[in-house]
Amino acid sequence: MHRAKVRVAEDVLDANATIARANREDFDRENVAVVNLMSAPGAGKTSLLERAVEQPGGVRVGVLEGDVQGSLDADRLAALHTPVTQINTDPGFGGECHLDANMVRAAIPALPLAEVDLLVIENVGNLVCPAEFRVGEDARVMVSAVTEGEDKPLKYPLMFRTCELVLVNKIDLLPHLDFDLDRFLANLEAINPGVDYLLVSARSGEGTNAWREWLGALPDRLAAGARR
Amino acid sequence: MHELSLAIAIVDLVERHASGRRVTAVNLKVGAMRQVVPRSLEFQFGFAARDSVCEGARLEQEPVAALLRCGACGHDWDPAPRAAETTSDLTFSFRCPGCGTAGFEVVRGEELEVESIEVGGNAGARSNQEERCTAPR
Repeated sequence: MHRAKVRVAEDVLDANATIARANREDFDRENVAVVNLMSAPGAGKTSLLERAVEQPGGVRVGVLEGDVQGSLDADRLAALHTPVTQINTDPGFGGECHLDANMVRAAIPALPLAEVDLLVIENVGNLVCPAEFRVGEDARVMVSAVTEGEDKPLKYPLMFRTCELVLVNKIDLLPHLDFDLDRFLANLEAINPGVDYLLVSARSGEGTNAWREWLGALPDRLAAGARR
Repeated sequence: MHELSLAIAIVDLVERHASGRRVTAVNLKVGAMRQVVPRSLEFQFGFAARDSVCEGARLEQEPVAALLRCGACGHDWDPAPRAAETTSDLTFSFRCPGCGTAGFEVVRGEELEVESIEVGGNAGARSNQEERCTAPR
Protein backbone atom coordinates (compact mmCIF):
# COMPACT_ATOMS: atom_id res chain seq x y z
CA MET A 1 0.00 0.00 0.00
CA HIS A 2 1.33 3.43 -0.96
CA ARG A 3 2.11 5.62 2.02
CA ALA A 4 2.69 9.33 1.84
CA LYS A 5 3.13 12.37 4.02
CA VAL A 6 0.96 15.29 2.96
CA ARG A 7 1.93 18.78 4.03
CA VAL A 8 -1.11 20.69 5.27
CA ALA A 9 0.04 23.74 7.33
CA GLU A 10 -3.47 24.92 8.06
CA ASP A 11 -4.86 26.39 11.25
CA VAL A 12 -7.43 24.09 12.81
CA LEU A 13 -9.89 26.97 13.05
CA ASP A 14 -9.25 28.36 9.54
CA ALA A 15 -12.63 27.16 8.27
CA ASN A 16 -14.35 28.94 11.15
CA ALA A 17 -12.29 32.10 10.59
CA THR A 18 -13.26 32.20 6.92
CA ILE A 19 -16.96 31.99 7.73
CA ALA A 20 -16.54 34.57 10.51
CA ARG A 21 -15.05 36.98 7.96
CA ALA A 22 -18.02 36.42 5.66
CA ASN A 23 -20.38 37.18 8.56
CA ARG A 24 -18.41 40.30 9.35
CA GLU A 25 -18.73 41.49 5.75
CA ASP A 26 -22.50 40.99 5.87
CA PHE A 27 -22.73 42.96 9.12
CA ASP A 28 -20.50 45.75 7.78
CA ARG A 29 -22.58 46.02 4.61
CA GLU A 30 -25.65 46.66 6.77
CA ASN A 31 -23.71 49.01 9.05
CA VAL A 32 -24.32 46.88 12.12
CA ALA A 33 -21.80 46.79 14.98
CA VAL A 34 -21.60 43.34 16.56
CA VAL A 35 -20.76 42.32 20.12
CA ASN A 36 -20.04 38.75 21.20
CA LEU A 37 -21.21 38.53 24.83
CA MET A 38 -19.75 35.61 26.76
CA SER A 39 -19.63 34.27 30.32
CA ALA A 40 -20.07 31.20 32.48
CA PRO A 41 -23.68 30.01 32.89
CA GLY A 42 -25.61 32.19 35.32
CA ALA A 43 -23.13 35.09 35.42
CA GLY A 44 -25.85 37.53 34.30
CA LYS A 45 -25.53 38.04 30.53
CA THR A 46 -29.28 38.25 29.91
CA SER A 47 -29.96 40.38 33.02
CA LEU A 48 -27.25 42.84 31.98
CA LEU A 49 -28.70 42.97 28.46
CA GLU A 50 -32.12 43.75 29.95
CA ARG A 51 -30.41 46.76 31.54
CA ALA A 52 -28.78 47.93 28.31
CA VAL A 53 -30.90 47.17 25.24
CA GLU A 54 -33.07 50.27 25.64
CA GLN A 55 -30.78 53.05 24.44
CA PRO A 56 -31.72 56.66 25.20
CA GLY A 57 -29.48 57.87 22.35
CA GLY A 58 -31.61 56.11 19.75
CA VAL A 59 -29.13 53.35 18.95
CA ARG A 60 -31.27 50.38 17.90
CA VAL A 61 -30.13 47.14 19.54
CA GLY A 62 -30.97 43.63 18.37
CA VAL A 63 -30.05 40.38 20.07
CA LEU A 64 -29.09 36.97 18.75
CA GLU A 65 -29.62 34.45 21.54
CA GLY A 66 -27.54 31.30 21.54
CA ASP A 67 -28.71 28.56 23.85
CA VAL A 68 -28.31 24.83 24.00
CA GLN A 69 -32.09 24.56 24.28
CA GLY A 70 -35.24 26.61 24.65
CA SER A 71 -36.04 30.32 24.33
CA LEU A 72 -36.25 31.44 27.98
CA ASP A 73 -33.68 34.23 27.53
CA ALA A 74 -35.11 35.35 24.19
CA ASP A 75 -38.58 35.61 25.74
CA ARG A 76 -37.25 37.88 28.52
CA LEU A 77 -35.65 40.26 26.01
CA ALA A 78 -38.58 40.21 23.59
CA ALA A 79 -40.72 41.51 26.45
CA LEU A 80 -38.60 44.70 26.25
CA HIS A 81 -39.65 45.19 22.60
CA THR A 82 -36.17 44.31 21.40
CA PRO A 83 -35.79 42.31 18.17
CA VAL A 84 -34.55 38.91 19.30
CA THR A 85 -33.57 35.93 17.17
CA GLN A 86 -33.02 32.56 18.81
CA ILE A 87 -30.60 29.87 17.76
CA ASN A 88 -30.43 26.57 19.57
CA THR A 89 -27.29 24.52 19.27
CA ASP A 90 -28.86 21.15 20.05
CA PRO A 91 -29.03 19.77 16.48
CA GLY A 92 -25.21 19.80 16.58
CA PHE A 93 -22.96 17.32 18.34
CA GLY A 94 -25.40 16.57 21.16
CA GLY A 95 -25.94 20.27 21.87
CA GLU A 96 -22.90 22.42 21.20
CA CYS A 97 -21.44 24.31 24.14
CA HIS A 98 -20.65 27.43 22.10
CA LEU A 99 -21.67 29.32 18.99
CA ASP A 100 -19.42 29.06 15.99
CA ALA A 101 -19.31 31.18 12.85
CA ASN A 102 -21.39 28.69 10.88
CA MET A 103 -24.28 28.73 13.36
CA VAL A 104 -24.35 32.53 13.25
CA ARG A 105 -24.12 32.39 9.45
CA ALA A 106 -27.22 30.19 9.34
CA ALA A 107 -29.08 32.73 11.48
CA ILE A 108 -28.19 35.81 9.40
CA PRO A 109 -31.19 35.56 7.01
CA ALA A 110 -33.48 35.68 10.07
CA LEU A 111 -31.79 38.76 11.56
CA PRO A 112 -33.45 42.17 11.08
CA LEU A 113 -30.12 43.80 10.18
CA ALA A 114 -31.74 46.76 8.42
CA GLU A 115 -33.60 47.65 11.62
CA VAL A 116 -30.70 47.64 14.08
CA ASP A 117 -27.43 49.55 14.57
CA LEU A 118 -25.98 47.11 17.05
CA LEU A 119 -26.32 43.36 17.34
CA VAL A 120 -25.44 41.60 20.58
CA ILE A 121 -24.76 37.90 20.16
CA GLU A 122 -25.37 36.27 23.52
CA ASN A 123 -23.19 33.19 23.43
CA VAL A 124 -23.83 29.89 25.20
CA GLY A 125 -22.82 30.07 28.86
CA ASN A 126 -19.31 28.60 28.97
CA LEU A 127 -15.90 30.06 29.86
CA VAL A 128 -13.84 27.88 27.53
CA CYS A 129 -15.12 26.97 24.06
CA PRO A 130 -16.68 30.32 23.02
CA ALA A 131 -13.25 31.93 23.38
CA GLU A 132 -11.94 29.77 20.52
CA PHE A 133 -14.60 30.53 17.94
CA ARG A 134 -14.90 34.00 16.39
CA VAL A 135 -18.34 34.53 14.92
CA GLY A 136 -17.80 37.78 13.00
CA GLU A 137 -17.97 40.19 15.94
CA ASP A 138 -16.37 43.64 16.24
CA ALA A 139 -15.95 43.47 20.01
CA ARG A 140 -15.92 40.81 22.70
CA VAL A 141 -17.42 41.44 26.10
CA MET A 142 -17.45 39.00 28.97
CA VAL A 143 -19.29 38.90 32.26
CA SER A 144 -17.56 37.58 35.36
CA ALA A 145 -19.72 37.48 38.49
CA VAL A 146 -18.10 38.00 41.88
CA THR A 147 -19.74 34.75 43.03
CA GLU A 148 -17.40 32.88 40.67
CA GLY A 149 -14.32 33.77 42.73
CA GLU A 150 -11.30 35.97 42.10
CA ASP A 151 -9.17 33.23 40.51
CA LYS A 152 -11.17 32.91 37.28
CA PRO A 153 -8.86 35.05 35.05
CA LEU A 154 -6.01 32.70 35.97
CA LYS A 155 -8.06 29.57 35.32
CA TYR A 156 -9.60 30.70 32.02
CA PRO A 157 -6.91 32.94 30.50
CA LEU A 158 -8.01 32.34 26.91
CA MET A 159 -11.41 33.88 27.56
CA PHE A 160 -10.13 36.76 29.69
CA ARG A 161 -7.36 37.54 27.20
CA THR A 162 -9.59 37.87 24.13
CA CYS A 163 -12.17 40.37 25.43
CA GLU A 164 -12.17 44.15 25.27
CA LEU A 165 -14.49 44.72 28.22
CA VAL A 166 -15.08 42.75 31.40
CA LEU A 167 -18.32 43.31 33.29
CA VAL A 168 -17.75 42.41 36.94
CA ASN A 169 -21.33 41.57 37.92
CA LYS A 170 -23.28 40.94 41.16
CA ILE A 171 -21.31 43.53 43.14
CA ASP A 172 -24.40 44.02 45.33
CA LEU A 173 -23.38 40.67 46.90
CA LEU A 174 -19.85 41.79 47.85
CA PRO A 175 -20.71 42.44 51.54
CA HIS A 176 -21.81 38.81 51.85
CA LEU A 177 -18.85 37.17 50.12
CA ASP A 178 -15.17 36.56 50.77
CA PHE A 179 -14.47 37.77 47.22
CA ASP A 180 -11.30 39.93 47.14
CA LEU A 181 -11.97 42.52 44.44
CA ASP A 182 -8.40 43.90 44.45
CA ARG A 183 -7.06 40.40 43.95
CA PHE A 184 -9.49 39.76 41.09
CA LEU A 185 -8.46 42.98 39.37
CA ALA A 186 -4.77 42.14 39.84
CA ASN A 187 -5.38 38.71 38.28
CA LEU A 188 -7.27 40.32 35.41
CA GLU A 189 -4.44 42.82 34.89
CA ALA A 190 -1.89 39.98 34.79
CA ILE A 191 -3.81 38.14 32.05
CA ASN A 192 -5.08 41.10 30.00
CA PRO A 193 -3.09 44.24 30.95
CA GLY A 194 -5.04 47.47 30.57
CA VAL A 195 -8.36 45.79 29.68
CA ASP A 196 -11.46 47.91 30.40
CA TYR A 197 -13.75 46.71 33.16
CA LEU A 198 -16.94 47.93 34.80
CA LEU A 199 -18.25 47.05 38.26
CA VAL A 200 -21.95 46.39 37.88
CA SER A 201 -25.00 44.85 39.47
CA ALA A 202 -27.77 43.81 37.13
CA ARG A 203 -29.97 43.35 40.21
CA SER A 204 -29.56 46.78 41.84
CA GLY A 205 -28.72 48.61 38.62
CA GLU A 206 -25.45 49.96 40.05
CA GLY A 207 -22.93 50.65 37.31
CA THR A 208 -25.31 49.62 34.55
CA ASN A 209 -25.58 53.17 33.14
CA ALA A 210 -21.88 52.99 32.25
CA TRP A 211 -22.46 49.60 30.59
CA ARG A 212 -25.44 50.94 28.63
CA GLU A 213 -23.34 53.91 27.52
CA TRP A 214 -20.36 51.72 26.53
CA LEU A 215 -22.66 49.60 24.38
CA GLY A 216 -24.53 52.56 22.86
CA ALA A 217 -21.27 54.31 21.94
CA LEU A 218 -19.79 51.27 20.18
CA PRO A 219 -21.17 51.93 16.65
CA ASP A 220 -19.70 55.47 16.70
CA ARG A 221 -16.41 54.23 18.14
CA LEU A 222 -16.08 51.64 15.40
CA ALA A 223 -17.01 54.14 12.69
CA ALA A 224 -14.37 56.56 14.02
CA GLY A 225 -11.80 53.74 14.07
CA ALA A 226 -12.62 52.79 10.46
CA ARG A 227 -12.24 56.40 9.27
CA ARG A 228 -8.82 56.75 10.88
CA MET B 1 -13.56 20.84 27.66
CA HIS B 2 -13.08 22.66 24.34
CA GLU B 3 -10.88 19.79 23.17
CA LEU B 4 -13.91 17.98 21.70
CA SER B 5 -14.77 21.04 19.58
CA LEU B 6 -11.15 21.26 18.46
CA ALA B 7 -10.97 17.53 17.71
CA ILE B 8 -14.04 17.79 15.46
CA ALA B 9 -12.45 20.76 13.66
CA ILE B 10 -9.23 18.76 13.18
CA VAL B 11 -11.11 15.79 11.68
CA ASP B 12 -13.07 18.12 9.33
CA LEU B 13 -9.84 19.78 8.20
CA VAL B 14 -8.03 16.48 7.65
CA GLU B 15 -10.94 15.05 5.66
CA ARG B 16 -10.64 17.95 3.22
CA HIS B 17 -6.94 17.18 2.67
CA ALA B 18 -7.06 13.38 2.69
CA SER B 19 -9.03 13.00 -0.56
CA GLY B 20 -10.57 9.80 0.73
CA ARG B 21 -7.26 8.15 1.61
CA ARG B 22 -7.00 6.49 5.00
CA VAL B 23 -5.07 8.67 7.45
CA THR B 24 -2.54 6.95 9.69
CA ALA B 25 -1.21 10.01 11.53
CA VAL B 26 -2.03 13.68 12.06
CA ASN B 27 0.87 15.94 13.01
CA LEU B 28 -0.32 18.93 15.01
CA LYS B 29 1.48 21.99 16.40
CA VAL B 30 0.00 23.23 19.66
CA GLY B 31 0.95 26.64 21.05
CA ALA B 32 1.32 26.94 24.81
CA MET B 33 -1.26 29.73 24.92
CA ARG B 34 -4.06 27.67 23.38
CA GLN B 35 -5.10 26.14 26.69
CA VAL B 36 -5.16 22.69 25.13
CA VAL B 37 -4.81 19.66 27.37
CA PRO B 38 -2.88 17.13 25.23
CA ARG B 39 -4.32 13.96 26.78
CA SER B 40 -7.84 15.34 26.55
CA LEU B 41 -7.36 16.30 22.90
CA GLU B 42 -6.01 12.84 22.10
CA PHE B 43 -8.96 11.20 23.85
CA GLN B 44 -11.54 13.40 22.10
CA PHE B 45 -9.81 12.94 18.74
CA GLY B 46 -10.48 9.20 19.10
CA PHE B 47 -14.19 9.97 19.35
CA ALA B 48 -14.28 12.58 16.60
CA ALA B 49 -12.38 10.27 14.22
CA ARG B 50 -14.96 7.48 14.31
CA ASP B 51 -16.43 6.64 10.91
CA SER B 52 -14.07 9.11 9.22
CA VAL B 53 -10.82 8.77 7.27
CA CYS B 54 -9.09 9.52 10.61
CA GLU B 55 -10.41 6.44 12.38
CA GLY B 56 -7.48 4.74 14.10
CA ALA B 57 -5.03 7.54 13.20
CA ARG B 58 -2.35 8.68 15.65
CA LEU B 59 -2.49 12.31 16.78
CA GLU B 60 1.06 13.60 17.20
CA GLN B 61 1.13 16.85 19.16
CA GLU B 62 4.22 19.04 19.00
CA PRO B 63 4.17 21.66 21.78
CA VAL B 64 5.28 25.18 20.81
CA ALA B 65 6.53 27.36 23.68
CA ALA B 66 5.14 30.88 23.78
CA LEU B 67 7.26 33.92 22.93
CA LEU B 68 6.12 37.53 23.27
CA ARG B 69 7.87 40.66 22.00
CA CYS B 70 7.48 43.96 23.84
CA GLY B 71 6.10 46.73 21.63
CA ALA B 72 8.00 49.38 23.57
CA CYS B 73 11.51 48.00 24.23
CA GLY B 74 11.67 44.97 21.92
CA HIS B 75 12.47 42.55 24.73
CA ASP B 76 11.42 38.93 24.06
CA TRP B 77 10.02 36.78 26.81
CA ASP B 78 8.23 33.49 27.45
CA PRO B 79 5.09 34.30 29.45
CA ALA B 80 4.67 30.74 30.79
CA PRO B 81 4.64 30.30 34.55
CA ARG B 82 8.05 29.55 36.01
CA ALA B 83 8.44 26.56 38.31
CA ALA B 84 6.09 27.78 40.98
CA GLU B 85 7.46 28.84 44.34
CA THR B 86 4.36 30.79 45.26
CA THR B 87 0.85 30.60 43.84
CA SER B 88 1.27 33.97 42.12
CA ASP B 89 3.90 32.37 39.90
CA LEU B 90 1.31 30.00 38.49
CA THR B 91 0.05 32.56 36.03
CA PHE B 92 1.19 33.65 32.59
CA SER B 93 2.83 37.06 32.62
CA PHE B 94 1.67 39.42 29.86
CA ARG B 95 3.57 42.48 31.04
CA CYS B 96 7.13 43.00 29.78
CA PRO B 97 9.58 41.87 32.49
CA GLY B 98 12.08 44.38 31.04
CA CYS B 99 10.16 47.66 31.03
CA GLY B 100 6.73 46.83 32.49
CA THR B 101 4.77 47.80 29.35
CA ALA B 102 1.60 45.88 28.48
CA GLY B 103 1.66 46.16 24.68
CA PHE B 104 3.21 43.13 22.97
CA GLU B 105 3.06 41.04 19.85
CA VAL B 106 2.82 37.27 19.95
CA VAL B 107 5.85 35.83 18.14
CA ARG B 108 4.67 32.26 18.72
CA GLY B 109 2.57 30.20 21.09
CA GLU B 110 -0.89 30.67 19.55
CA GLU B 111 -0.50 27.92 16.96
CA LEU B 112 -3.10 25.24 16.54
CA GLU B 113 -2.08 23.96 13.18
CA VAL B 114 -2.24 20.68 11.33
CA GLU B 115 1.30 20.64 9.99
CA SER B 116 0.99 17.43 7.96
CA ILE B 117 -0.90 14.17 7.67
CA GLU B 118 0.31 10.70 6.85
CA VAL B 119 -1.92 8.74 4.50
CA GLY B 120 -1.85 5.13 3.36
CA GLY B 121 -4.03 4.06 0.43
CA ASN B 122 -7.81 4.17 0.47
CA ALA B 123 -8.52 0.82 2.06
CA GLY B 124 -10.55 1.88 5.06
CA ALA B 125 -12.59 4.83 3.92
CA ARG B 126 -14.26 5.91 0.73
CA SER B 127 -14.62 9.51 -0.30
CA ASN B 128 -17.82 10.97 -1.71
CA GLN B 129 -16.23 10.95 -5.11
CA GLU B 130 -15.52 7.24 -4.97
CA GLU B 131 -19.08 6.62 -3.85
CA ARG B 132 -20.31 8.49 -6.90
CA CYS B 133 -18.06 6.36 -9.12
CA THR B 134 -19.40 2.99 -7.96
CA ALA B 135 -21.78 1.20 -10.27
CA PRO B 136 -25.47 1.87 -9.70
CA ARG B 137 -26.92 -0.50 -7.18
